[in-house]
Amino acid sequence: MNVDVQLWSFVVAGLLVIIGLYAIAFMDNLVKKIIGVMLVGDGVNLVLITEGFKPGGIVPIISEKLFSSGAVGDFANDAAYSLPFALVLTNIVIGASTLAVLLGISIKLYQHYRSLSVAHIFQEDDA
Amino acid sequence: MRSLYDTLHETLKSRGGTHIGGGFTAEYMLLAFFPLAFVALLRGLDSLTSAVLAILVTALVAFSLPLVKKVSRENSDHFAIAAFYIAIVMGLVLFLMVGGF
Amino acid sequence: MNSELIPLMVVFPLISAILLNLMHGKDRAVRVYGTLAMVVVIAVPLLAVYGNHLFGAHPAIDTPAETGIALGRINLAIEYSFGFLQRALIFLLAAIATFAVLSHTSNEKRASGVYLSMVMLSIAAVSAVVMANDIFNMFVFLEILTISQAAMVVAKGDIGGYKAALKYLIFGGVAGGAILLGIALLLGTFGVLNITDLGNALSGNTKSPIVLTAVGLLVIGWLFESGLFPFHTIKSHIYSSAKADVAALLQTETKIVLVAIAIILLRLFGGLSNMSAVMVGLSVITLAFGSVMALVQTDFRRLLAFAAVGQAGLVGIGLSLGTPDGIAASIFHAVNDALAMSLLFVTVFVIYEGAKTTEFSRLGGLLTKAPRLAFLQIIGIMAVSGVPPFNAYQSEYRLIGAAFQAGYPELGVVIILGTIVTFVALMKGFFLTFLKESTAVAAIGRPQLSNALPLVTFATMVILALVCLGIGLHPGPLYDRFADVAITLTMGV
Repeated sequence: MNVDVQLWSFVVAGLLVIIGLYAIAFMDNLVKKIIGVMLVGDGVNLVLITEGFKPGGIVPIISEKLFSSGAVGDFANDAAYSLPFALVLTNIVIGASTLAVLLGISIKLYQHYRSLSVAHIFQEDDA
Repeated sequence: MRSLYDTLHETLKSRGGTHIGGGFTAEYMLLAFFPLAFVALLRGLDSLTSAVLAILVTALVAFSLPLVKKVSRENSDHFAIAAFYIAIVMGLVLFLMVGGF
Repeated sequence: MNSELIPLMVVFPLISAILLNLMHGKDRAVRVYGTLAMVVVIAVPLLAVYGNHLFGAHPAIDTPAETGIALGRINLAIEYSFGFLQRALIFLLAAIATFAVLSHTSNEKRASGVYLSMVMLSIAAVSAVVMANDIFNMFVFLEILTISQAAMVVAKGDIGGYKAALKYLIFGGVAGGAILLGIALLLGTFGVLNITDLGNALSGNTKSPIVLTAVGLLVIGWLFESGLFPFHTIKSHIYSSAKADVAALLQTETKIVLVAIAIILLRLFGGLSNMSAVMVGLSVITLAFGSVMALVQTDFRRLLAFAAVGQAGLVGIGLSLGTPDGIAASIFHAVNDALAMSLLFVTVFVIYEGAKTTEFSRLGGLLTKAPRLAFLQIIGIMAVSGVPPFNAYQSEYRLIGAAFQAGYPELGVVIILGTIVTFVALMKGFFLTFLKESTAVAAIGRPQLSNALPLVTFATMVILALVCLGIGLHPGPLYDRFADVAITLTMGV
């Protein structure tokens, strides 16, 4: 059952990335493209989270008691893999700052062109 | 048949005057670059196949002159063109890495 | 040895970025602190001792059997390693960044703290990418670099800059996602992030489809960060939309990051022939399109932008060959080209500041107005296009030799062709700016574009020209040590 959870989680992650790439490539609205970028990031985050997930695992918080009782080996056996969660946390922060800059730029572009259509904004760049 | 020079000259002229010379040089350099780049790319194959393919590419290039205008259109700053080539190359890189040659 | 100064190369610019951001609006404080900070940024890589820095000083430990990690010993800490290569690249970055900062503080009426803060952020990011022996740390700082570079381009304030930055950030998001997915696949397979550990865990065993997918994704990230095909139009758009002094910094950062990531890829997947073929092919295409597109431009900044992208392709060719000669020549060429291209960008910066345009149709006949500028620019052109006795000649000559030695004679021919096209394109720019019959700009005779160049800019150009000449005459001290680095790198694979 738990394998199913992981498998479906990967499938959903793949779908998120594909929807994101579709939005970047084919949707004309600037905000939709930006949402696409964020979806790609979220899909990758979900891959990382799924890697760290352990069926029936325990929370990976280590304490003095574990060492004194000699249960460190069992702890290492049962605990979820915590490194990916740290990576996801970092990537969420990076994603948020990228999103802020992207939205700031799109506000500027909207003020200039009065439109969020990428085809309209890049119209004059056809050589 | 009109001379190739005239065809080239007219195509380049239509893009503004200052770079007809540059356009000509670019045209000839592209002619040299394409077969060479393909020889470099197709090294994994045996020499006969790569030679035949390189000659084919040269022929293709020679029949689609003038190139400069096409190449510079494909290298413009437009978002859609960048997205198109990025999508193709991302697929190609993954295909070549995982599928092998 | 746990050298104390190594983390300072990343931490100090980061702290400076925060401080300068807070100082924004206090003109005097920004000027003084910005200048002082650059002194530190330049001094630290020269003073730091070679070695590795372990954050938190966690040593390598024996892996507990329960973790399921196949390696006997793994590194726990995030590790920064600092050797000659890192010192050379970070010093180069610091030198060009110092010019960008001084150019801003001396030419602008009001120094912008936010702008200098972004310059500092990019210095920190590039330093970290160069030194990090941890693949996730590399990713984090690549993302920071993308954001700070986009912000530096936006700082010019016109709408073209916003468009370029938007494109750069959107595709940067895709490329960043690709890198992180590649890292996630490697982490899921091997359970480690340290590059040395990953290299040991892989140890030539790269046949599994998951690893190959990860390689492909990391290569896509490399292509974006170094502006190789198909991302070359985005990079050239970025260079030509930024102010030319920023563009000098941007192209230096791009070449340094190109070298740094390619070295990480070689350390991890050195023997993989697929990867090498893909990297060579895309580098050749970049060189061809970059230099040919430079020829047909009607604007000097765009011309230089495409020439810089084409030269990045040249650097990529040698690195992807994967031979010691190729790697050494490529690193050498990256340094030489960053210096010479910066010189050219600075000359174009002066032209733009004086004439307020870099369109060839509106330039012309400037030789009589600014002979010193013309002289410096012709030095830069010769240096970039590999005319002896300047520096790029030494590295391009070695690159061609390395291509022949690796059994790719046609790559040698491609390199020569690319060099010629770059030379022709740059000479065309020089002719249309300085030699052609004078047009509108020269007739108006703007007073700024005269021999009275701003002191900082003039000094920078003279120093860059002298360094180009010096490396060209005495390549030995620098090249031999890059060769040592390359040999150690290929032995370690």
